[in-house]
Amino acid sequence: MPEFKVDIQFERKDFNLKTKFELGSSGQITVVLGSSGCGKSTLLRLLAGLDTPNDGKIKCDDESWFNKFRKINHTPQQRSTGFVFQDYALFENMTVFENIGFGVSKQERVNTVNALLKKLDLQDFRDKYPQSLSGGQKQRTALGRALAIKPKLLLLDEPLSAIDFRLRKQLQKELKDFIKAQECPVILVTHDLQEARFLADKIIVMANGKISRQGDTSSVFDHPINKDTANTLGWQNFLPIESMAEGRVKTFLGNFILESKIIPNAEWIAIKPENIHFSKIKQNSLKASVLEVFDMGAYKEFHCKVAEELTLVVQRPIAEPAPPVGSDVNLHLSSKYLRYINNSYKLPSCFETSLIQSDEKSILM
Amino acid sequence: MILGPVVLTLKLALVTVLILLVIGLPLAWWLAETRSRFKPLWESLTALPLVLPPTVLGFYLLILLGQNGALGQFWYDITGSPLAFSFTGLVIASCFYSLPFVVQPLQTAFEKLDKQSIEAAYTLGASRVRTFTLVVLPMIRRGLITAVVLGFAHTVGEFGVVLMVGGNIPGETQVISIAIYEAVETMDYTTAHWMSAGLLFFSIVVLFAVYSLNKKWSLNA
Repeated sequence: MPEFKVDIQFERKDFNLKTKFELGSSGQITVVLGSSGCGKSTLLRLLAGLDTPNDGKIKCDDESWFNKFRKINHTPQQRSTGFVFQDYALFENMTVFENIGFGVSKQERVNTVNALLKKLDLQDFRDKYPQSLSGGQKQRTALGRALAIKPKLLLLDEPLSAIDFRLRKQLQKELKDFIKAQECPVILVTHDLQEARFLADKIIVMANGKISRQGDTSSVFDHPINKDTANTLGWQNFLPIESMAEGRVKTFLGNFILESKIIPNAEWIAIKPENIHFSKIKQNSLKASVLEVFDMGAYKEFHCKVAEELTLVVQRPIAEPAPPVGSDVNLHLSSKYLRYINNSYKLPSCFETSLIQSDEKSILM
Repeated sequence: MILGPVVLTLKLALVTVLILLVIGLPLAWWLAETRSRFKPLWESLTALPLVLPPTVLGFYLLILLGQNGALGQFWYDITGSPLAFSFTGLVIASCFYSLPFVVQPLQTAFEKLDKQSIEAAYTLGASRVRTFTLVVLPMIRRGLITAVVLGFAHTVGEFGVVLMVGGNIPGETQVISIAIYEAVETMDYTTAHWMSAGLLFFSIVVLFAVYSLNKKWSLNA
């Protein structure tokens, strides 16, 4: 079972990437989450050897794939990474069988490909060309092609982004079950929050070419710690802190009580849009007026003005009574869901020990 | 009388296209990939034979290939025979003359190439040679066929450059277009008719084949 250690820097004219992380055991899915242009696809290309870092090391077990100091740089051919591209990059002139068998030696081709066709439920399409396949079939073919070479590392670049919305949920489940059964670590890149939460065992949040937070999925989602991570994970409401003492925080809008652990250099308290309620409760509450209401299907989104330059976003289920635009409301920010947020990418020590299990403790920048 | 020039023309066109493929494939790839500031300059130089009058190109080639020219003298020193007014000289001249017809369709094909398929092949362990033959060549097949056919047809039809560099030596440099010119000059209209009609028919067939293939492949793609 290969173990990966990555510590690389990549510099281009208007782009910088700096990452350091380790990958754990087989079948563990590490999801790299970030908005577009944050460098997550570049990270995959650097790992596969399609781009070259300017500095650093990539190590797979005892084998060095890249080492600037020792002038080692393995070609993509030498690395044996299974790469599933965003739009699959299937060979259009080859059948499904030929695509999957492309990287396999002649002697093993028939057996390996037949086994994968069966596993991926593609037997009926073995002689079809990519242009006649559906999105899901193309994705499975690309996955099969990458797995056929028995990769040391499986890389998936937004594997579900080209799939129809209705099918995506089902394919997420299939993909998860299938990947979990593999014998290599998996890195999956996505900008989709729900997909990341559903698929990830470990999550790496990227912002502006850097890792802003990494660790066990639920701990990262529940405690984003810094503002870049919180923004990426959909925490849209931030109140600047004026002073704080023992769980009681003073802001220019009043005092709030938090149950969360205090972190060093906290500058904001943050809350997700779905955790703000319209309620008459006095504690942890704010007076606001509704500026806009958006119907999002399953929920409604309210933009509520709490001060001259501060608008909070509130999301409530469609079934709840909705205050109309222009009305005055009382917003309740439950102490349970409020978090301290700072500007530092360093993980506070209280979170290292309690929230991340020791065997997958992350290395931080 | 007719067969000699026909055979010579086909031989010239075939040799020229083969040489141009060897030169044109890497050149077109480089032109498609380069980020050089001078890319427009290299493209202009490649395209020059498209706009230059054949006599101008032929004149400079004659200077270059003649016994006092750099290439001509070099060739004479190692082989003992002159380049100008020889079949070899004609092949070199044709390569210059038909270069854009081979390079431009290839360059367009390379520019439209799905680079991720190439990268996918690399990650699957395929060498550059294997990737080129199994992935790249099939993807550029339309450009390749267009390049071969246009290069071939254009060489078959050349006149000015041949006259300047090759002259009119039966069996050595007398290609169809020159033979037609001579037939007309000597009032042998029957021969001129046969050869002209043959060339006309050949051109129609070639263009029809290119357009049909393009249509078929664009429907399949």
